[in-house]
Amino acid sequence: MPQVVEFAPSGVALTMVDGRILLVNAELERMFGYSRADLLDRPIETLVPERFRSGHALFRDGNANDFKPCAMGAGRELVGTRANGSEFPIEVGINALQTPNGVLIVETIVDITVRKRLERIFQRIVEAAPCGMIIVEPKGRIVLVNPQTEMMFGYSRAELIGTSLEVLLPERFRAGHEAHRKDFEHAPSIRHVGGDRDLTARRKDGTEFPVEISLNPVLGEEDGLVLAVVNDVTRRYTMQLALRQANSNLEEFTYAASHDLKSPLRGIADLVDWIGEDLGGAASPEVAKNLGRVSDRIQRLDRVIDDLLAYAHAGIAHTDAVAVDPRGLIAAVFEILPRPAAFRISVQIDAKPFVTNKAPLESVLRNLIDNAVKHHDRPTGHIVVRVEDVGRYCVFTISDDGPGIPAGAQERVFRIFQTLAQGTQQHSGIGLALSKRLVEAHGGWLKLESVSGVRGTAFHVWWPRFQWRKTND
Amino acid sequence: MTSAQPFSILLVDDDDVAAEAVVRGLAKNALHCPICIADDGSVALQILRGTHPTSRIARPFLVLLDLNMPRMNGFEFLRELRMDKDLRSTVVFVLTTSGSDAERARAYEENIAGYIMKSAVGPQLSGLARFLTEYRAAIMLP
Repeated sequence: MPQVVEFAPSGVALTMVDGRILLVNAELERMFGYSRADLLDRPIETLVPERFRSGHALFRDGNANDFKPCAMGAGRELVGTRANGSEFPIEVGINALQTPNGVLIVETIVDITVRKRLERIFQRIVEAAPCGMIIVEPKGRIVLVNPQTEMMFGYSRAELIGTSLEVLLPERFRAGHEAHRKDFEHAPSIRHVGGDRDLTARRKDGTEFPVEISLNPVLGEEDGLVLAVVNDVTRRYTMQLALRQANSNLEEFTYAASHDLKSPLRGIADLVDWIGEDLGGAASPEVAKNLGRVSDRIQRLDRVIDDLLAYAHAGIAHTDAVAVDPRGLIAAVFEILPRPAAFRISVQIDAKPFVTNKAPLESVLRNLIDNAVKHHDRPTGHIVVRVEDVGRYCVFTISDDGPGIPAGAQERVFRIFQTLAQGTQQHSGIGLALSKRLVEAHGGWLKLESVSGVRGTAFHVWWPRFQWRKTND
Repeated sequence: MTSAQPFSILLVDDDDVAAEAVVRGLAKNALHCPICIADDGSVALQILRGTHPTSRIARPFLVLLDLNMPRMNGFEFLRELRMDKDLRSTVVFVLTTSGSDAERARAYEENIAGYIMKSAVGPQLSGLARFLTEYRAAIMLP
């Protein structure tokens, strides 16, 4: 046998027309685990499992005159069996060889285990993908769909294969779509469609739904196949609508609060002032005292409205980021903090500067430190501020040696308009709720640590040191 | 120096306390001028057009306008005013508690002379009185 055949990378066998083996090459021996001597003069069917041997024109046609050559690649996929009985997928090509001794048959055998495995993996990917996958020919005919596509559009696979892609669009868009498809054909590239605008698809029952599609030319395919990956974005769409609605409600609320609550309150304040002025010195001490109490309450209510507005705005993350040095930030907060001289302050900083939205962070820290002083029940106290980097967060811990927060109240303090101090005029009780909202709007969280019956409270602010990139999808 | 040109003020506000606060605030700060009060836009138009049964206003005058009112609000009043060929040159200052950017922009589109936030001219509108006194001394009204 010529060396070319002996060392060919696929298995080669030469047989008589009746299948008797005359020759095998090294690769065939290796592939099937037989030695050359074992195979000579044996029928070629030795190489396939028992169950395929009878009544099956396996490798060859019985009649050499009817013999149809069959190239590799277009050859038949079969199962081979090794000397040890194990099976594996093979592809077989057959050709006839005219020799002075009559017709001989050349069988070329390739082990396609790897290819079959890749095919199965591909199949799984397509079948299991959580999005619709559609492969389309240049003329718009569908050649492949996965189960998600069937579910999404309500058509069966059989109904879709071979039909035009346009059936998946509302009728009003079909004509226009053909033009888009031709454009794509001329300049194929990976494209995302419908991310920024509304793209509508149509189910078999005529109902429509919003989709997002990515178009991918299948490279290396001369016939210009295109893979369309389709996502049903109904859920996102509904959520966006609800969110937009909620935002506009919030805006209306904000307006109502600023105008419809504030202006009557201003009127009441004016009226009380005028009564005071008109009475002049004629007011009895009780009346004067009560007018003062009314004024105090008006001021408090005015502050509550301002706080409510601040709370409403706190849900919106700021976008103007600057470099912030934790040391400078804490120093700035203490600089303007009103506190009794007897209060001791300790600051421990083990954190690097980072880029973030400074104003909300500063307002949170100011609020927590202010609380630690304001809610302290003794003339002297010790407040410790610790800042450290933990993973992608900068953690600010503000601890005091004040009265502590009883276990039952720990959840309540974060709710709006809850305050534990009595008869207070200094604060509306929105500070913690506001701080929590500010922290969360910027991707962090706020944690309270206080043990019932033990003095002292600690608040931990986990503030992200890195900002998520804003994507426009 | 000649004495300041006298003018009248048409105050358009549905809240009688807010209106009185303006009247008191101006009086307290020694800005004395006739003030006519309308409790919404349509009443203000009647007064300006001389069709109101009781109230009249003498020229020259300027308008202090609240935006948020029942029936005809400040914007509707402005639109109507600018379409009236006898009244379109009227000097209007918006006087409001609302700080909304959108409202401010919308008001300026109707060619108002200024957008005044009550919170910026307090206490007791003394800033407003000062401003109008200066304004009266310097500006010739139509």
